[in-house]
Amino acid sequence: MIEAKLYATLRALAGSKSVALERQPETVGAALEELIDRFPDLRPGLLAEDGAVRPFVAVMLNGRDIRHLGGLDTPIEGDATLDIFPPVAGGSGSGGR
Amino acid sequence: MALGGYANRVARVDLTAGTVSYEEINERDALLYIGARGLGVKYLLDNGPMVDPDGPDNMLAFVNGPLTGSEATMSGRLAVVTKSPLTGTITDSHMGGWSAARLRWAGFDALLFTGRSETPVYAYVENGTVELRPATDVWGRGVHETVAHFEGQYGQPVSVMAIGQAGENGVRFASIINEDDRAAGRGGTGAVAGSKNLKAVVVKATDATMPKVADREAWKPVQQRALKTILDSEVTAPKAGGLSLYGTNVLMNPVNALGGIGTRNSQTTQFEGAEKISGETVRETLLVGDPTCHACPVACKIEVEITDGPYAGLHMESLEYEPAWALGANCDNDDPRVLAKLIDQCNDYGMDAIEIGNVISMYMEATQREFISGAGLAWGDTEAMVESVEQIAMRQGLGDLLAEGTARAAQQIGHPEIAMTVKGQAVAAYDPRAMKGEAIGYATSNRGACHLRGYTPASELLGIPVKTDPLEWRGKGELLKIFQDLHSFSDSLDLCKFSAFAEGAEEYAAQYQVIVGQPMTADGVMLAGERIYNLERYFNNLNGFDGKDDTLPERYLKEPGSGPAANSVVELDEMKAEYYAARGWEDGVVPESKLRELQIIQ
Repeated sequence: MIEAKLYATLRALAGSKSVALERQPETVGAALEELIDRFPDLRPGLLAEDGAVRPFVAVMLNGRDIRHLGGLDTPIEGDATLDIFPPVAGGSGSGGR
Repeated sequence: MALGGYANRVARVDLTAGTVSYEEINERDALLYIGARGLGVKYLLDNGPMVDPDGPDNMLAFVNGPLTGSEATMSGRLAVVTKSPLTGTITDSHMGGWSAARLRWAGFDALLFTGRSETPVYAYVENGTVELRPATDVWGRGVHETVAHFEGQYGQPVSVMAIGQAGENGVRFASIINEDDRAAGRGGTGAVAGSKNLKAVVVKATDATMPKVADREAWKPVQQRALKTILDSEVTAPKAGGLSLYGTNVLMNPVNALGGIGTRNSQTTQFEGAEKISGETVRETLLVGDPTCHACPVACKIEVEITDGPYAGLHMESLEYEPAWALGANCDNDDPRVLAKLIDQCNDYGMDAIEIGNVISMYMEATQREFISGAGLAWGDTEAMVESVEQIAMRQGLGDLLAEGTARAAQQIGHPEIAMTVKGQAVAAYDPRAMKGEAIGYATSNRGACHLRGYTPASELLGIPVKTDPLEWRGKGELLKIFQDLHSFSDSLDLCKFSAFAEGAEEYAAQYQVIVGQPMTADGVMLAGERIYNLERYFNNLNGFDGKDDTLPERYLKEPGSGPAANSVVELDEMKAEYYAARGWEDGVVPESKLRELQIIQ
């Protein structure tokens, strides 16, 4: 099974924290396609007009950012988790440190 | 002085003699070291690098930058600079809120405290003057009560930068906290204040005296451009970006996903309870407000209220990522309501929530491994954690040992290997096995383990300025140097670190140039940052620190992490070689030629 976990602002767009994909996609790109088919409101936040993942959006396959794998062509084999984050950052402690 | 931005007024306060003298900013030093962090370190170096951190000769410097309190976006910050009683290194720790701006509006670039008062005092600052006044009424009280006392006495708005009982009792990681619970949190600044019997700095001022801009005509477009980068950024955009909506704790889930959340004293690196203490959960269940600092549209603070359970009625600001990790995942605590309680305790007693989370988790591991006799502390025993925080602040019972900090306490237990520290200061919320930039960052930080000297997660997680693979060590030494130098400059302006999610050296240069009235380029920003970083290293070198101290706990070198980091340990030697080559250092020491090249010595 492929589980797509959504975070931050993406949760409201899909109305869910986690989605079990119904197909068995061969690539990360195909997985995102199914996800966006089911939750079209996710598209503008995730993909640019040319279909590439938007800058600063992190798509992780089993904890590895696909930018360091094969991008949207990264193959998915067997059960897997996709963690999908909109642009997020932070890092301080109690107001500065 | 011809420079804009600066108030051109510094107060030297001799607490032993009870006297205050005033001087102008040294223009050459201001040009070389900019302000805040850089200028503060120069004051400390000139005061003498070999002083005892706990002794009266140590200096406690509150220093603004040339942009502090101006209309520049995110300019509500000052640096507290001192020699750390936790590490023995130079340290600087920055606070937000409104205290820094008010200190500038009250007419000061810096307050430099030396000596030791015989009785507790506070410094009252208004209209270009500093007076020492008795603090016996508030000695022994927490920060919140102290702030309320002075707000009642002087009326709002007033800024109060105070220590709590932890600083009074010499807890080595005591902090200085202001009226907005913003902290000069790391390195033991509050312990130094306590050693001097200095309870607080109270500042009365309004923005009617905002600093002068050298080139008023050029200022507006420069300020608008910098502001626009913040407003347009997908990270910092007010009410839309992740940082604005969820606060810093928006990082809990992504860092956990990549296997970077040190868990149960970093024995593993993925926390099964991460979602429960994440920014998303806190926003959904506890959030009641999002206050902000001077000149900041981002408003990353996360004000929470607890409505049920043993801490019902607690209202606090702010529940942040680093404490949520240190007192959460690292101690096996997945209850955000308890986190709010623990962080609020730290703010009130005045303690660094990162260090205290580490020292408690270290003791929990000592308990797990039966390194200690007696009941010890069990993983996730939140009631005992709440008790321990109080004991540490008051140096009672077990607290007296833990108040020494993670490294010293582990040493006394006889197992220094379970202290996740560098140069005596505990690590932050990015496990170095999963994020190699932080590995070399912790190891080489001039103030002991620190994620903020060079915030490489911007690159490894987000892709600013370029996306790098968090598990790859190659190139991280060079990347770290860039971040360290850039942050050294922004910490000296003094702009919030989060400005770097949108702004860069060009925006910093443009704002400096227009406010100060001196030419500045992006290259000049990086050069000044490099000078400041080397100045700090020089201070440490004079104290005997060298390459042997640029190291990491053995756990990170020998025990792999979890999840995506399951096969990863830190390639420390390779990374240090790359980093030192980029820096031009010899085994962690700045060579004389480099000091001359950077005009640190003549």
